[in-house]
Amino acid sequence: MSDRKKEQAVERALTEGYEKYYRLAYSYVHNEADALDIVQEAAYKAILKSDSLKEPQYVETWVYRIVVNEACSFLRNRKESADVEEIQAASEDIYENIDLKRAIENLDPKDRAIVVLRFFEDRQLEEIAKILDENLNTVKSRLYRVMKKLRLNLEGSTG
Amino acid sequence: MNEQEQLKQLKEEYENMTIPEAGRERLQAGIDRARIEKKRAERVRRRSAWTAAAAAVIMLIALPNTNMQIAHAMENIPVLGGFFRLVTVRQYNYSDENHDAEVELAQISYGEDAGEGAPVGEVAVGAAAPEGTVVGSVEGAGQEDAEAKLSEDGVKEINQDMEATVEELIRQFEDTLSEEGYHGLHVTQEVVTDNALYYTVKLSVLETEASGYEHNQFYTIAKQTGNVVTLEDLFAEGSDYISAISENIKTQMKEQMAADEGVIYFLDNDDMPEFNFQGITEQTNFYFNERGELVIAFDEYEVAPGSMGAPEFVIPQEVTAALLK
Repeated sequence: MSDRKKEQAVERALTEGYEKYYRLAYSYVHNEADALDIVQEAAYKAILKSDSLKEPQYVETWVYRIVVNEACSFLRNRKESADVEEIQAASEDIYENIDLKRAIENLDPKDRAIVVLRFFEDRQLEEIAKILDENLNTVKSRLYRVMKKLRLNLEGSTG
Repeated sequence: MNEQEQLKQLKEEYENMTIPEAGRERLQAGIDRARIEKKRAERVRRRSAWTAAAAAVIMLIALPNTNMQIAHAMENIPVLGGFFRLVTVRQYNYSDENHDAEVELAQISYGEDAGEGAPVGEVAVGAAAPEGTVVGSVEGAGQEDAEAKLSEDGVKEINQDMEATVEELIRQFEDTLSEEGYHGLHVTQEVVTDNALYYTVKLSVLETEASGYEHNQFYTIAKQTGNVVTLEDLFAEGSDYISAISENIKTQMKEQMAADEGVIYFLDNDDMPEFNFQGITEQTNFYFNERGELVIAFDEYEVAPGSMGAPEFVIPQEVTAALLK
């Protein structure tokens, strides 16, 4: 696949998948402004680095990975002022299911990505492994650990 | 409510999240910014390869110029006794539903005046001009022969670069033949300057996909030496022509933007400060217009959004007069 074709494939994945990428970003930061920053920056990086897309059939997965990485580095960057942010996040979002929501938010960013992708996006574990650039067994054991932490029923959830 | 039910409800919240439509524009802005950066990098790569070749030519001629005898002989030849012309040596056309190419590869040929009949600047479509036979030699003393030979290097260097550029473009175009979506490639060459001092050929490239990308390369030969000329060769050593020209361009940009809302240049733009026009460089494209004024030529996206095309700025003579060699 030529570099130009790769760039086109990435652009298509971005524009067609915008809503998915926005949701994923939002699930990390819980506010529109930051989620939009993440999406824009991820789109920029994806096009800039589109030449390095090695498996064009996984273009969507590849873009997911960039969004996750962007979201994680965003969270890292604002960790210094974590206390303030936490209060802010809590006051912005009013959820009925505050317990589970809180518990998910307190997961480390990679575990959080696993929960969002597995349970909200219904992604297969193989794909999640690709997105997170981990091997399948690592992702499996992470998922088990997370579900235990969240006191979720393990049955039928490990896809 | 148990955890499973909570999770289900969270999933619903996730799926029903309000998606701001404005985000699509932000996403597109990210895409566009990356595009511009990639095109810039590509252009710099192409141009630096070209100027390295040009610099090599200038190095070659620098030595004989230090020889007083030859320098004296050159003074006696105000202009080489021949003419330059542009000869089309190859045409490439392709057309199907989604692809369209019209490409012309021309080469500069240098010949003597006597009787060959082709006026300067004429484009002889379809004529073949085998390399190596195109440059005539100046009759006379040995020193003059040496000088005529040097002029061959400048022509050759430009011809090789034009050929390599056009062949690479055709190769890239043929790569797209298997792709869906429209791809267009239009390449032309024309003589934009042919006065007593300079001969300049403009190689214009328009690549079209969803949107077009226009870029140009200008090749200038000094008629007195046959050498390739870059912007810095025009100006006296040590003169700050870069600032003088850059400031003039910035003033022109501001005036144009003030006069017409539709005109946008990347200048003092806070949204994308990294794209703001800072100034020209030694390698910025130029030519002389028919009034003998210096024209600075930019590629599409280089100093303005794509809607502005490939902008050019005529630099008033009062700006350059004191600095020119």
